[in-house]
Amino acid sequence: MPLRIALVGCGKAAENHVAQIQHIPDADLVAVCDREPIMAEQLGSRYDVRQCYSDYGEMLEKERPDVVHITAPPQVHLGLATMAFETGCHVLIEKPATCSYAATEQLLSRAEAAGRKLTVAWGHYFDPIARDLRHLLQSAAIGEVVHLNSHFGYNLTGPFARPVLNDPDHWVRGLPAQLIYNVADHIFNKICEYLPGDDPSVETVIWAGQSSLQHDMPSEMRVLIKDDRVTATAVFSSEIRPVLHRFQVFGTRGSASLDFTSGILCVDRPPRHRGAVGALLSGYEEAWGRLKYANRNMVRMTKGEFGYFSGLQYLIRSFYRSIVRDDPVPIPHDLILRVSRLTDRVLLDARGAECKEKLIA
Amino acid sequence: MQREIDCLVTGATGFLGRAVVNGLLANGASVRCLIRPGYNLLPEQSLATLLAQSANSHMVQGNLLSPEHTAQAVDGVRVVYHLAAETRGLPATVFAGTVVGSKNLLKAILRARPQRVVLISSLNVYGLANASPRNIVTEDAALDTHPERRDAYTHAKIWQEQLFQEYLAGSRIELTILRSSYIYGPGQRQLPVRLGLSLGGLLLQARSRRKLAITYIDNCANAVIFCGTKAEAANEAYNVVDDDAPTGVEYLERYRRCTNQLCAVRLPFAVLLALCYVNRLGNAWSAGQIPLILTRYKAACSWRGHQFSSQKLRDLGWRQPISTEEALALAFPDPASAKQPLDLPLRSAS
Repeated sequence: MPLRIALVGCGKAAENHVAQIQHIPDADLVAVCDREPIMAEQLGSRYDVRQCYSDYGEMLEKERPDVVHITAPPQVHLGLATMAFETGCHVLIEKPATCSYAATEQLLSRAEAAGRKLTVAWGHYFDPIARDLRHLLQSAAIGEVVHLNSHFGYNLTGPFARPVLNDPDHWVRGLPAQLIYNVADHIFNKICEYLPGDDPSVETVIWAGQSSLQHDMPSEMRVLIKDDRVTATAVFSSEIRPVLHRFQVFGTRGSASLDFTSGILCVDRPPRHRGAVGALLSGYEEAWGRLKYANRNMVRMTKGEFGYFSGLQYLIRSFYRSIVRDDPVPIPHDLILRVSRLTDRVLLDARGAECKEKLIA
Repeated sequence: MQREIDCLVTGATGFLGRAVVNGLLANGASVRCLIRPGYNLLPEQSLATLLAQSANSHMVQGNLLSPEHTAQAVDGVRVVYHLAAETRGLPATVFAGTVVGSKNLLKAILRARPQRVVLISSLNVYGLANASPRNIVTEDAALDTHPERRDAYTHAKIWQEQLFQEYLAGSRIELTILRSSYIYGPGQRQLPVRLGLSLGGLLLQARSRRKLAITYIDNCANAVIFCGTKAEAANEAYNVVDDDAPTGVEYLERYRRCTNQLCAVRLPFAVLLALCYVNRLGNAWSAGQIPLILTRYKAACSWRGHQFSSQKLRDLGWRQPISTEEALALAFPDPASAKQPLDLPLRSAS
């Protein structure tokens, strides 16, 4: 029997979920729901979904799904997830899971109390390069982690930002630090995964950059995080070009650099040879490493394992598998909590931003 | 209730919107423009200048997604020109901006009861997948019955048109639909979709010897205003296509005189169909990671060289104010006098 899947919230994120679910065997997307019927119907008609609802309770009641994907704004995630748990559904929730650490804690405890599985749609967390990095660190190839750098670029003229900038009432405007909070999980989940301690010191600066001035929206963030043994920096920028999405791990034996745009993972090690010839050979060695990795990605693409949303598809598959086999969920709840706590701390520490007030409120 | 005003123009900041507002003001009409609150109307922009200079016009800041804003905008208006639509962005953005926004506007219209609504639609709404390119497409052709197989913008426009017909049926509010061809003019940065498939800086051109369905910005604006004022245009639909349109090859030559950033390859239609097949295979092999942008259905609707007639509009008495030759010269000025870089489109209005 395929898993019965339902989705609530037919906005931009829903499209990505539905497109991936369609390529997962043993998963049947039975219904979509949005309080605006047109939004549910447009998604349903394009992806051939059998039922479209504008009443969430009615959908849960009539369809009795095994899994509910929640892709509505984060302000309503907790309520929608609670209803799903009460109906016996497992929940895959779009990031950010909630709007505060306290709410995330509540969300996870309600899932555990109901005995239902819950995960957050951190697609990039399962990108092939992110999975390769885990293997690399397990093999001790780059030694002990010393420093982490998470860089997330944002295009304010892109298809995600434009509707937010055009609409002062957009739900993203209600989040602490607005666009930054909306992608904070992508920035901090990489750091939290490799940061050993739970209580790092944090220094943050957030401001509205040049390109954001006319929109009165925070668009630049720099964070310095210091644990007992590991330090980390996080950058959110809408000014830097090209728009980069990178993560670097600096270790005692070597360093790894992940480029989430090109899907290439590079490992830097001390040069094998000295002098000018050694430097020259290092360049060729690096180029060869990139070429090999690009070829590997080509093979992955033919298997459906490479692409912007391949990480999300991997996550959804893993989550469904964890339900069928009653295995642990693909993202540990402890990590979700740590990311939420760090996000809160970063924004509470932020200087020069209005996000503090929103977070406290 | 606000004071009586002749017209409301939604989408007034758009390419066609500015020309329509200009034309209405020139005719002495009082005009209300609905402009998004986030829209930054710079003083040097022509619409800002127009609104500042005219005592007959004013701007209302509002979002079509807000029922309160739409109600305020429609109040006391005699004719609504609905030009607003999301032409680009993710499908959800396009549907929200085009269809959900229209629904809110329609609810406000039913309460405020203006005399007439003029909806700007597109020639893309016709279902041409199985229509022979030898037959001329008139207003009698049926709308596409499989809009979900088209791109999000076309899907949304078809839905929008159906929504207007459904809501206003039996309301005694007059509805006039203008199905515009691709609108070109100075500063227009897109290429007509019917010219071919744009892939970055590469254009795969199909049926390049067939005449393109295009209309010059001022001609289209003139047709919109004409239909808003003509009594006989009530509850009718009209195609808007200019006479003596150039072929795809001729249009592209003009375009390329102003830019050298475009590489165009002419392909037989059969080769485009083969590319559709390759795209489908790639999409399946990659488990959806290679997007399905090219399908046989879309190709059949857009690139078989269908010809459109606007005879019905001419029978109503409308005459194209600017000849196509003159319009092309205005849109693509001699590069010796002005060389403007033009960007390639992802999608155009028609």
